[in-house]
Amino acid sequence: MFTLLSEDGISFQAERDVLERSVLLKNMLEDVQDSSNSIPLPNVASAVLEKVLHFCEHHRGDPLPVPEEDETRMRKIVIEDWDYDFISANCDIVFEIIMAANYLDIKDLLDLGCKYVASLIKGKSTEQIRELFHIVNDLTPEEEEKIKKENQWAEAV
Amino acid sequence: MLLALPDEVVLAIFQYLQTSDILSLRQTCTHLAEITKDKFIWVNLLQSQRGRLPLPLGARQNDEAEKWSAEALETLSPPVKLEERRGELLIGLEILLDRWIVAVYADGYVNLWDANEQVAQQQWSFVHTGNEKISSFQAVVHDSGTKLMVAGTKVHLRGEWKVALYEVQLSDPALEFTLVCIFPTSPSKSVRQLYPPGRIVAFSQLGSIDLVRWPEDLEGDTQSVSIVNPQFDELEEMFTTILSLRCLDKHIFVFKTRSIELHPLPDFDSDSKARSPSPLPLALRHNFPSYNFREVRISEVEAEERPAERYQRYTLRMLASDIIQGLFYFVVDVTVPYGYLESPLLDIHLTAIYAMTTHIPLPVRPARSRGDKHFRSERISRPIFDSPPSTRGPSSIRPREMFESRAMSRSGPGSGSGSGSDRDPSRTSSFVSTYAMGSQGMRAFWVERRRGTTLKQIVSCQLWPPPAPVSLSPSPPSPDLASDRTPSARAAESERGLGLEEEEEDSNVDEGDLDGDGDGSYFPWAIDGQTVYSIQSYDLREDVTYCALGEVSGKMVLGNRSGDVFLLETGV
Repeated sequence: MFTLLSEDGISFQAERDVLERSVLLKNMLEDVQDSSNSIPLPNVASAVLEKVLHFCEHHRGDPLPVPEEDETRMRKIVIEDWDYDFISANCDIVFEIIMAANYLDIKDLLDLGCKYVASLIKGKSTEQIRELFHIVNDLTPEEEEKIKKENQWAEAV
Repeated sequence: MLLALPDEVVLAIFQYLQTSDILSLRQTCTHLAEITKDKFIWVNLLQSQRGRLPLPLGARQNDEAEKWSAEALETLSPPVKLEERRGELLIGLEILLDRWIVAVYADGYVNLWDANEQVAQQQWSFVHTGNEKISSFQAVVHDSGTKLMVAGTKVHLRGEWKVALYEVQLSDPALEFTLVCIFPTSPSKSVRQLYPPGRIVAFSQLGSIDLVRWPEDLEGDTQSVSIVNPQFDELEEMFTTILSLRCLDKHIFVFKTRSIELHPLPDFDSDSKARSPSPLPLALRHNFPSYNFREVRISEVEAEERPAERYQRYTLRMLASDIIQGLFYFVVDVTVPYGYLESPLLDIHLTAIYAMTTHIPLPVRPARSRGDKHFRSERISRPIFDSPPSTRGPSSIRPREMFESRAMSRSGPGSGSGSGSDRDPSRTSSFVSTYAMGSQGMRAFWVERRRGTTLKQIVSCQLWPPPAPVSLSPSPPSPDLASDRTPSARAAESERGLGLEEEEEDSNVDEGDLDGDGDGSYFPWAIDGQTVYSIQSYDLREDVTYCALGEVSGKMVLGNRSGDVFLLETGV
């Protein structure tokens, strides 16, 4: 058992094979033989770390994901049921999960987050995307006009 | 927050999105506008599209794509459908001045798009009742590029045939359309050429030609004359039909299924009241005994005055298609001496071939010249009455070197995926469904459909100037048809093709060159096409039936059976 310490000072216990889902932690654990010291994770809040560990626990023992070239090539978003339930249940902190997965280098969790966000964007108009992510439009009308003009080539497709 | 994510994560998200989503994102805010310009996205999109979308050739190769800028990658767009068209049954397409796309529909509409401003679209209608159909049309540039002229024949259900002639003033911002004239014509005539300098519309019906001169103003009368072939071989007429006409100043150039003819242009003024068509002497004819041309594209006529030598020369470049045998590129010089008594000269050079079979019957040279095993050029200067042209029968030789060199260069590393091993060098597995040549006759493209598949490839090629001659290679490699040739073997193969003419270099002088340009470049070379695009569709309505090429910019216009028109900007 190893102990992780979240940004807000809460400690989590997990076994080696769970933590090894994270390439960052896996490398750290190689150097740390005894489990007496806790590992501080100053970039991950406890609410997020809890979810991340939940995900890693579920996938413990799974083969580490290999890049699925075909999937991105086809631009298809395939998410397994458990994963989908997991990520959509945590959609309010999906960006935090993505950040944590990126920092901890958990490939399958990062992929899952990216796919989920992509699925939210897919097929949406500019206005709908702004609403979805609370993006403030800081483009000047001239810039907007310019981009629209540049994009014309794709509109008829 | 999406915006708080590091760029590499945003890019990772984007790799699941389509072009349209990325362009939507681009319009949300400055940060996303910036990041959507990242090259990674577009290289990635390109890779994802490679499998299913037809793409310009360069875009099919990884290493090529890496070199491209993000902007260039972005605009590697698939063909753009031209919107707001009216009309259903497309009967022809043109692109004039590399900009003005003319699409004519049998059900009465002429659509004019400005390829520079894809939104701008103009239509006008040739027909004024629902009972009329357009049966043929011609569109040309007039007045040094300031005007377009379009002539169409229309037929009423009751059987009346009329010709309408419109002028389009290419003024900014709005175009001006003027009806120049409308006049009745006899049935079943197709308009073959519009010749604004002489105010002539040329029509044909099978083997006969009608020329109509339109009046300078709407009140005037049209004048018409007909050319009926005096020596028309009835048997020949069953097989031959006029495919295209070109007015030269004093002559009319006629391209038929199996021959080329040159007639004097009739004089409208002297005998404009002629009730019955007066037979005019046929000036020159050259027969193609071995080909059956179905269509021909003729370039703009290049006229060259040679006052010192006392003649005028017209050069026409033509790409003719024989469904079985392939595409044949001819460069034809018409030399008209100043003196009326001298007969004009017709020089026909078969310059290049895109062969669809390995056996192409090539006409042999006249027996008097040496090296008649290999066709090199056709020079005809005798009037038809001299000797029957059919005495020189076809000879079926197999220009092996030529087709091998072509097949090799196609399967080389430069031709990209999809054009290599699956291109059968025997050329029997595909056919050209439609093709277009640029107005200068320098470039062309065709739509090639492989038998047994629904894959349609758009292949573009350079017709002129011919590939640079390669110096002779003493020992050509064994000519087997292995498809994995190295580039050096390819080069050697093409040298062999050129080597044939080397051994008979001096022999074209005895044909009496007017300008003595015996450069020996007459052996037809093999047209080497590049697949720039391919369309996979099971829908017959998506068959490309008409196309046009803007030669300078590489704009390709494709029209399909359902009447849609697409613009493909390959930049190739």
